[in-house]
Amino acid sequence: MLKVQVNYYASARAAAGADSEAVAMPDGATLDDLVARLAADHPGKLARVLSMASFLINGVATTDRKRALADGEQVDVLPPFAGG
Amino acid sequence: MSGSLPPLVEPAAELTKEEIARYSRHLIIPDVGVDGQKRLKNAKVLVMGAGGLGSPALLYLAAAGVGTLGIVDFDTVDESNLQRQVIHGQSDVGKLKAQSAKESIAEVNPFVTVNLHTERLTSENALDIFSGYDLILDGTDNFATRYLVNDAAVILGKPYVWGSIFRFEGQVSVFWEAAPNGKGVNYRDLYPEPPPPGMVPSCAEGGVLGVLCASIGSIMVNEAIKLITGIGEPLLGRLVTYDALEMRYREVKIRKDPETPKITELIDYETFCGVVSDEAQQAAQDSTITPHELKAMFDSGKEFELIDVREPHEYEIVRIEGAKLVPKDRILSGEALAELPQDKPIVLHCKSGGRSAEALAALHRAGFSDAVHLGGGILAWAKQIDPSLPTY
Repeated sequence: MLKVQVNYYASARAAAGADSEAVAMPDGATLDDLVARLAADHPGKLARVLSMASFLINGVATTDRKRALADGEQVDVLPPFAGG
Repeated sequence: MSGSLPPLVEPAAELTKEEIARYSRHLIIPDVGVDGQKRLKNAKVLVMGAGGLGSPALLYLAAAGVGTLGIVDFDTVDESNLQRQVIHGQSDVGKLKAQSAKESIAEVNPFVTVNLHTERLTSENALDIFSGYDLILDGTDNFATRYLVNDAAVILGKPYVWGSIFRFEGQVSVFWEAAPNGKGVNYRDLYPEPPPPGMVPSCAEGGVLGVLCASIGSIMVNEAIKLITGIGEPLLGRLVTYDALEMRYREVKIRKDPETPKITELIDYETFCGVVSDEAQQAAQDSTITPHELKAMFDSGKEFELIDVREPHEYEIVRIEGAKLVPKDRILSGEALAELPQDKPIVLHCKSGGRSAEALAALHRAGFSDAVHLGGGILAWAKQIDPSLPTY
C-alpha cells in the first residue's frame, strides 16, 4: 500500500467537499488509477472537474497519466479558469 | 524562502519636486524610498486587458507612479462591465476600453505616459508589443490569449504577473522563465494543456463577483511593484489561490519538470485551445462526457452511436473502435442528419473536442437534444483510456 495526500482547489474542492484527503492506493498505482478512484469515491461533479484539472505531484505538473505514484507524495488538483 | 530578486528596472535620474510631494508616502517607507520610486518612474509595464483585473491594476500602477503603462485591449466598454471594471464610468459606455482607461489614468496621475494597443494580440504582433516593456500583467479572459502571453514572455525572457478569476475564486502567480535566481517557471508548468473546449465557463457565462477583481488585481500590482523595485519575496514558483466565500488564501508550490519541451516559437493558439463559437460552448456546457464516461458506456453494453466528425484522412490515422465517420461539415450543412439514428443516444467526437462541439450545437438545433460529445476528443481517449493508439 502507498498513501498520497490529495489537495483540492476551487471547483475541485467544492466537488470533493474537502480541502484535502489522504488516499491509500495499492503499490504500483498510477495517477490514472488515483483519478479513477477519486471519481468513484465522490460520485457527482468531481469526475468532470478531474477530466480537465491540472495535477501537480510534489509541485510538478504531470500530464503522464501512467506515472506511478510513490508513498507520501502530494497531489494538487487544480481546475483551470481564465477569467479576467 | 529564497529571498528577493534584483530590481527589474534601473532608477530614473531624478524625481521632480511635484513627484516628491505626490509619492511622499512611498518615499518614507525605507524599503521603497527614493531609489524604489525612481525605479517605478522608469518602469514600463504592459497590462493585458483593461477589464476586470486590468481596471484596478491600471489604477494602482498609475497611482504608484509607474512611469509608462501600455494597455492592450480591442474591446469597447459595455454597461455589463461597470459592475467590476472600475476604471470605466457610465459616460464611457461604447468607448474603446483602452481609451477610457487612459482618460481615467490621466485623472489619477498626470505623470504617467500611456501607450494604447487597440489591436487584438496575435502571434504576429505579440513579440513586437511586449519587447517595449519591462514587465507584463496578464488579466485577459480566455485560454488562447493566456498561452500566447505566456509563450511570448518566455521567448523574450520577460517576467509577468498572472491573475485569473471566476465567481468567488481567484488565482495569482508570477511567471518568469528566465528568473535570475534560476528558479524560473512559466504558465505551462502549472497548466501544461488547455482544458477541452467548452468545459470551462468564462466569467461572461458563469459570472464573477465584482470586488474579486480588486482582491486579485491588487495582489498583481503588489507583485509588480516588488519585482520592479527588487523588494520582498516574489510570488515566483508559488500559486496563491483565494476563496472569497471562505475568506482564505492557500499556496501551491510550482516546480519545473526538466523534461518539459522548451518554448521556442509562437503557435496558432486558437487551434491549440480549440476555440469554439459561443453556440458550441453553450451546447457543450452540459453535454460533454469524459473518456472514462465513454468507456463506461461501452462497458455497460448500452446501445449508442459513436460518430467521428473528423475528416477521412484523420480517421485513417487513428480511430476509436466502433466509431462511424461523418465529417463535421456534412452535419453542419444538414446533409448528414438523415443518416443519424433517432432511436439511440449519439456521442460525437473529433480530435480534441472543438469540431465535435460545433457539430453538437447543430445536432441540438436539429432536435437531437440528448446528443453529447467527448471532451478532449480522441487525444484525451488515447491518453486516458487507450495509450496504444497513435496520436497526431
